[in-house]
Amino acid sequence: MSEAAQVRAARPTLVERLFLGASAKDYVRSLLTPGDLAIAAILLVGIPVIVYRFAFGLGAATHLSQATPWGLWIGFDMLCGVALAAGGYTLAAAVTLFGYRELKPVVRAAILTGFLGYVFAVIGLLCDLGQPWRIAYPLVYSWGTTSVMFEVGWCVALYTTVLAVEFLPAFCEWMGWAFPLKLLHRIEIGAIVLGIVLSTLHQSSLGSLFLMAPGKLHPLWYSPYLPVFFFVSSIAAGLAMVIFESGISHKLFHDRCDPERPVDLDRIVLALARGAAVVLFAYVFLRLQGLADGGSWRMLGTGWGALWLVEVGGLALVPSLMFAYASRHGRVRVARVASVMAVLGVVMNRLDVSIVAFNWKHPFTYVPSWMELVGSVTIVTMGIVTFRWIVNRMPVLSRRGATGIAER
Amino acid sequence: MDTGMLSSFQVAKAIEYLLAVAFLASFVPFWRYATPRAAAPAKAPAPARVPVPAAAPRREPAGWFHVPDGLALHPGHAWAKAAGGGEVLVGADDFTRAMIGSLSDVDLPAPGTVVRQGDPVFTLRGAAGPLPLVSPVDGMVVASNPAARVGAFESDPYGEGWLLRVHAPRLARNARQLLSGSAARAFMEDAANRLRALIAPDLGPALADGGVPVAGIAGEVGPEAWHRIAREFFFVESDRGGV
Repeated sequence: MSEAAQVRAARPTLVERLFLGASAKDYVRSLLTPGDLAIAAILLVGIPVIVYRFAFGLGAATHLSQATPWGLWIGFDMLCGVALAAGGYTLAAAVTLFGYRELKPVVRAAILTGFLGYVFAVIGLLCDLGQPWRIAYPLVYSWGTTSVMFEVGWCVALYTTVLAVEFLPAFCEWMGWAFPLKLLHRIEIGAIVLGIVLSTLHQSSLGSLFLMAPGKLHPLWYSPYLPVFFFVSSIAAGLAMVIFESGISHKLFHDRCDPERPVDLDRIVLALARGAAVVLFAYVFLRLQGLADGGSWRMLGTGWGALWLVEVGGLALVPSLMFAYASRHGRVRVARVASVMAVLGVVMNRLDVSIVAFNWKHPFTYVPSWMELVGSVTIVTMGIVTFRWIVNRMPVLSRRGATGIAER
Repeated sequence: MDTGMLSSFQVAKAIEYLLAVAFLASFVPFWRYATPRAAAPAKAPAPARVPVPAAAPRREPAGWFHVPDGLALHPGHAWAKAAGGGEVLVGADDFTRAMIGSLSDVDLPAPGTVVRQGDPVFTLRGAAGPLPLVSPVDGMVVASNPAARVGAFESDPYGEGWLLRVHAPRLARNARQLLSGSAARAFMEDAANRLRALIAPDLGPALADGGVPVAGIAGEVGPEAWHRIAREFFFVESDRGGV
């Protein structure tokens, strides 16, 4: 037998790869853990709820109305999902364009997080669309070139494709496909540059959507700089999310890391913390500029002002200072706590803009229905399960695939 | 419009300009603050290159073992010295040299290896046997010093006898566990006293008259005393069968 044939014969089969080298029976048995049962319970409740929404419509499943057509699925799944998925383009730009090669070990995980973030944001969008089968209309049939939504639709569709292309090398390595891998490496730089351009466009455009509603959005949040706020905060969200996610991934999936190529994760976290510190620092000043431009200082003394101060002061300025302290003194744990705060800050900002401070003068307050909440939790859970499934099989945290080990 | 008063538009613009100036004025100091301390240009005498021991190392008059200023000593008898760019040089101290004597080999970790403060990081092999030493810092090995194997460690353990160059992003935090200056000298003197008490019966007259210990004490003491020395002074278990 030739050497190539021997290598092929030694390669695990597709079934072995899918079941991590175990038999189907043993694999299913390995899933009977409390964590997996909790996930199963969420999906058992959540998937029928999503099916119910598609069967009976938005009116039956949600508290959305003509006055509040955008609810939790847009505010959380779409706006937060896209912002928190920004680690993909941020890290790709830092490593490939700006030469921060020491961050390379976490790029694949960031790209996977980004890719899944977008895929599940689109699933959230599908849930929210009154006629989801028309999702492709702006792309192929009805070009509303003067609409911000047109740009968002195109950018999100293209960038999700670009993220798939950026992640495909891991899939090809897992499958042992050498030729497509070679082709993908050739277009890698182009895909990364395209990804950065598209992200810059649509991260800001998601903020631009709210420029159309100056009377509906509370003055503390409304600003002509909204696109800039959304873009800059997405960079901070991406960096914070990579810090947060890499800590959990390397702890949960430590046996998926390559022992021959140890990663100094603390060093990476501290480098990311430094970046997040200055981005958040700039973001806080931008928000203050927005406040000055709108002349809304007096409103800081109201309940809305308290909410604004928590969001900008407590969950942007404080994490910025914590990131700087962590970077200066090598305090990884401080950086991790700050990353959680920064992520919460960006989530709060998107929810404030799209839900809490939107329609603030309206007599009726939008409160999501239990089905909307369950739907959101289900979509997030599906994202986490998919991430875990992929990391357990494909070379994401290391350059080697993993087989023969139970799901982590 | 009342020209004598500032309009709200003008006030808003003035605040915007002030904010912009405040941001520009504070950004660079903030950036500098966020720069890791270990990577900042060192004000203290922290040479970028390994210092050449032109002058004879200072020997404390009352001590057996010397420790110079400008480096940080781990209680496990490994030292770290800032080398610029967030990196430190790591080596073994005079106490270790006295214990091991002539080196037959050194097991050094490969570049890229992650090391943790307090975990064994390299092994010195003398005629007496192997002695693992713990790392004084967290970080990643950047380079090792082949010259240490061929006499540099014996002649100059704090200079050309360095063993590893380590990227140490948490040096500031690690430094809390390290000793320098007078604290390091006091520690070394205490180590000498403890050693004297431990091995005096074995060394006998070589120490009783106040002289300095022979190089390669490890080869002069029995296996039991050596195990105690490894445990109590280096925080490791020596696997030497009997030296």
